[in-house]
Amino acid sequence: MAIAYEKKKAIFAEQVSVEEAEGLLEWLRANPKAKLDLAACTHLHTAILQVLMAAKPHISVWPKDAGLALWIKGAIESKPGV
Amino acid sequence: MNSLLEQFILEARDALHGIAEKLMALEDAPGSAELMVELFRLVHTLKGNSGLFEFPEMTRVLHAGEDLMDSVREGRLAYSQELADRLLDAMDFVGMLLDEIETTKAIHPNHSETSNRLALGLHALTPVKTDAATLPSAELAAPMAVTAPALERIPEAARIAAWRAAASGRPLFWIVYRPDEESFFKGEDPFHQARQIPGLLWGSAVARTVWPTLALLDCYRCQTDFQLLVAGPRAELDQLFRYMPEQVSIQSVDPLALVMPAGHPNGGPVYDDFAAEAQTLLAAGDMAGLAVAAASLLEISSPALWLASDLRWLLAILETTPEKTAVLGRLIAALTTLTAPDWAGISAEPEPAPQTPAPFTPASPPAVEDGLRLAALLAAQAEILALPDSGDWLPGRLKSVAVTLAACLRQQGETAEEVEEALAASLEASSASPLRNWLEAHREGQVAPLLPAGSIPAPANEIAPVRLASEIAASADTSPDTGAAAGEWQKFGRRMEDAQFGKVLKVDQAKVDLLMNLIGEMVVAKNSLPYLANRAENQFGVRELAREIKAQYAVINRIAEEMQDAIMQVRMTPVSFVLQRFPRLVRDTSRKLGKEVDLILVGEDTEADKNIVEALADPLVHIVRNSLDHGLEMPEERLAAGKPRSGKLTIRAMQESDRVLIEISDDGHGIDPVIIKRKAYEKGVIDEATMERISDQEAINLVFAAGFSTAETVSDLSGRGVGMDVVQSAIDRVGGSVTLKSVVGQGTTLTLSLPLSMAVTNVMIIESDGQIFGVPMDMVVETVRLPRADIRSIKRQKTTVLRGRIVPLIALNDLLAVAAEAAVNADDEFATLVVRVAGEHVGLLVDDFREVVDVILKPLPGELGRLATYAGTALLGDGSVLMVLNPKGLF
Amino acid sequence: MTVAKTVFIVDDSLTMLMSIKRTLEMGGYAVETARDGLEAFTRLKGGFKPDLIITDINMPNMNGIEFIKNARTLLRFTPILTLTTESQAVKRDEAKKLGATGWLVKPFAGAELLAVVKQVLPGA
Repeated sequence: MAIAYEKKKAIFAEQVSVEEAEGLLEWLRANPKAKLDLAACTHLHTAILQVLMAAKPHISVWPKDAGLALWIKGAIESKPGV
Repeated sequence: MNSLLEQFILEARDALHGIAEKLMALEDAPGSAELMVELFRLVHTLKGNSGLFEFPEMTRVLHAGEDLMDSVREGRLAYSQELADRLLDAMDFVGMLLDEIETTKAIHPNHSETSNRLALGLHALTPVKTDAATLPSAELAAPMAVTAPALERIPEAARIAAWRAAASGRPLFWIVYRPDEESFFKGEDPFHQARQIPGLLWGSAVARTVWPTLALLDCYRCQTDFQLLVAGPRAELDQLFRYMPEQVSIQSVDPLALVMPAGHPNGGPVYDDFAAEAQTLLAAGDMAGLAVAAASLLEISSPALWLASDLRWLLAILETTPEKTAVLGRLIAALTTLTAPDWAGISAEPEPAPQTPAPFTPASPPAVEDGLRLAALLAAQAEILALPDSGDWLPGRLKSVAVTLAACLRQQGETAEEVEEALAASLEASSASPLRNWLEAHREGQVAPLLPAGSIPAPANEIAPVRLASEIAASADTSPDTGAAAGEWQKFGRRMEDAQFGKVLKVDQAKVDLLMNLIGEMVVAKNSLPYLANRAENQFGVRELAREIKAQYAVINRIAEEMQDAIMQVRMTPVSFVLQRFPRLVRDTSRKLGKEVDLILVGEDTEADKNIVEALADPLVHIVRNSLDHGLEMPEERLAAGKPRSGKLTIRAMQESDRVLIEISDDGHGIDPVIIKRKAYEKGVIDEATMERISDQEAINLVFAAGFSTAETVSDLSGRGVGMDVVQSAIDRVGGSVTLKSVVGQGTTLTLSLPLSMAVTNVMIIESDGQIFGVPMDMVVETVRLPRADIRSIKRQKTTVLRGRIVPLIALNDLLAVAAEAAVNADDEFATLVVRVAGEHVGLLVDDFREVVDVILKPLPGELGRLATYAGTALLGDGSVLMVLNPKGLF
Repeated sequence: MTVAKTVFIVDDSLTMLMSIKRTLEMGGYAVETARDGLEAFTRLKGGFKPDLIITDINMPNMNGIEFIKNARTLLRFTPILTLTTESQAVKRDEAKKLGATGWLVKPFAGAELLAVVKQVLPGA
């Protein structure tokens, strides 16, 4: 699957599609202290990005794709409405 | 032919039929919205498909037709007869172009004029659209409110990169992309969209509002905006956002606005001396000195300082645009105040030269096209040279290849000496090798430079796959590595074939014909097995083997017969194939003549062999035109005769055992035998005595006599000097017959009777002067051994009496101009084959009779096909060719 | 390692189907086809889940607009492109309102088709 959920860690695959957003959101609500491993990820859908922005989870491994890593970092740090 | 083009032609033909059919139907129901929509769809699809190819003449006409039908469909224009006429004309033109494409693979440029004329004709009927709703949506969408760019959020590195991009002439844009909340439900991924922007320097995803708690978050409602700094042509951005222009604002950015040093002030201005020195260097124009000074100060400063940021900008501008001394001056001055320079008063970046929007697919420059064409030409020559070196044709083939190659070289501005030498060597050795070797060497050196790197056109559907496939084919056996690639391609190819486009296959007729020919050969080959069995038994004395061969033969025979049957089933075509043209023909013709005619088609789904159905087409057209022209009366005439105003023309098809019958009847004034007799006499078709003697029916049948035409005046339609004799002979050719019945004042009925299939012909083999010939069995009445004594001469014509009937006798040798007497057997009897020709019995004197066989009769090819003497040829079991006579053509 | 993305083409014209199919297959996509909206919708109801749908507007049985409306009830997020002509701006917008992602204007070059597909299909 596009996201592999372990006990306290979710591992993102290369592509994470819009369908995964609801599941990820539920999982992060249930496991607020969980870690995310995005190493393999090259793209995730806007819906996923929104979940990351809203939940600000602990990302233990950033994507190897430097461009994507920058985007996600920027998105999580950005202030709303600017 | 390219299979896509083939498919296009097939489908286009269908569409044309459909269009004509719908137009006909609309005549009766001009208000039918359903028909209108269907008609529009057909024209629209056809136009769309034609656009896939380079057929502007066709597309232009279809486009005009589509616009017209669009207006009709939307009720802006009422359906009219004139509209139908013009559209039909246009479709006829398209049909003609299709024929041309099929034979020549191109459209002759001189059709351009007709195309324009037809398109204009259609446009003239089309009302001008005033509907605002038809404007492209992009122009209607209100642009998003423009917000001041939040440039300070952009990291310095990205801003410096943007400056460099602007300095190299690329315009800068600030994009705010605010996706629709519902955008995910339209299949959009705004983040993906943002990441794809060409020339993206920096981007940020920003929440539109403060995120709610996770429990309340609706992750499928897009609440994220994107802010983007981009360097590149505006056209590319518009292209990328063309589906959602209302969701983006794109603002041009002055590069100076990006020059914003920022950082830690670190306790006030202490760099006054550097600033002074720098201003001096700047004033002196010593840019190198200024750069060195700035770089050394930067090296010893902490990068987080405001000072360091300012120096980095200074260096970047020195590097990219040292001529901007005012900018440099203010950056240096800012060092003393540690506040961002005020750019007011400094002329903004001169507008970069307007960029021509990058075309989506660059048209391949002519040189490249020439190159490709040349490469294809060379490849074709290589293929010819790769053919086996077979005797007689080789020199001619080599010479023609050499001529082509020499022409190619001259076109390239080279001399053809090498080709001449290679040709001489090839001719001498009687082998294509020397020429082939030269060509290979030449192609390696030549073809590549013809295609300059990077200018190879984007994979235009037509060229690329062909080229790749041939490359793979060429290299597959030499390099194992490419094997995998070849497999990959084959896999794609297979997937294509696996595609299920429905349960009905459309197959090119040539393929079915090939099957037909193959089964023919199979039947012949199979027939050699009994010969083999006989030889095994009689010549080699292995009886057991002979028996087994015969047993196997029985099995193969059964399969072959079933197969033949199955293939013939494939060839069965409904007669509607030829009947569908008649509604149009009757409509056009009757309108021209001022007559009113109702056409009734019955039994259109009756099937017969494709060749039979096709053979019906011309005779039927002739018959129908005759009926319209001569048979049916003008409306007034009909009313006066107490008939309904509209004439009735019925074409009825039906199957009767192994024949298919086509009956064409009208309720016109019929054929008057008295007039026919008189005319026939006047034209010298019959003599006075005959005129007196013949019955009314016989008189009516005179219309089939050669050179007889009943038309009072030669009209534009049927009376082109061709009479019913043409119909008769056309029907004869496929083994059919014509009967004509007519009642004066009530109408005429013509019945065509045709075999269901003409694939297998039953022929009797006869011998004459040592040669064998076939005679179709349906012509043969009987075979008799005629004693010499029974032959009488009446008026120098040999005759005999058979079953109380006088039968004229003719020697086959005389008919075939063979200078030999008919042979007699030991009892002095002539082998006489009595055949039925035009209702008369005639005895053919031959040397001997042989067996009766089933053969697959093939018409003689080309010019030979005009020899009426022969019905065709057939292959016999031993592989020899049998000439099959056409008795009707003998006399 | 990534599985080829599947594009579902719906058009009543075989010529158009073949042409698009050929281009997309050369671009490395898996392609499935249907000849009208009804056939396509039936396929989707049977559980077929393409990564992208490209559909014609004018088709018999079920036209493209109806098809898009129906398809959206099954596939909420799948990108859908329509095949239109210049004169069909109204249809194009109607399709967009009903959930189409974008459109292609016939005739289009193979390179344009691939560019648009790449634009709407992440990871392709």
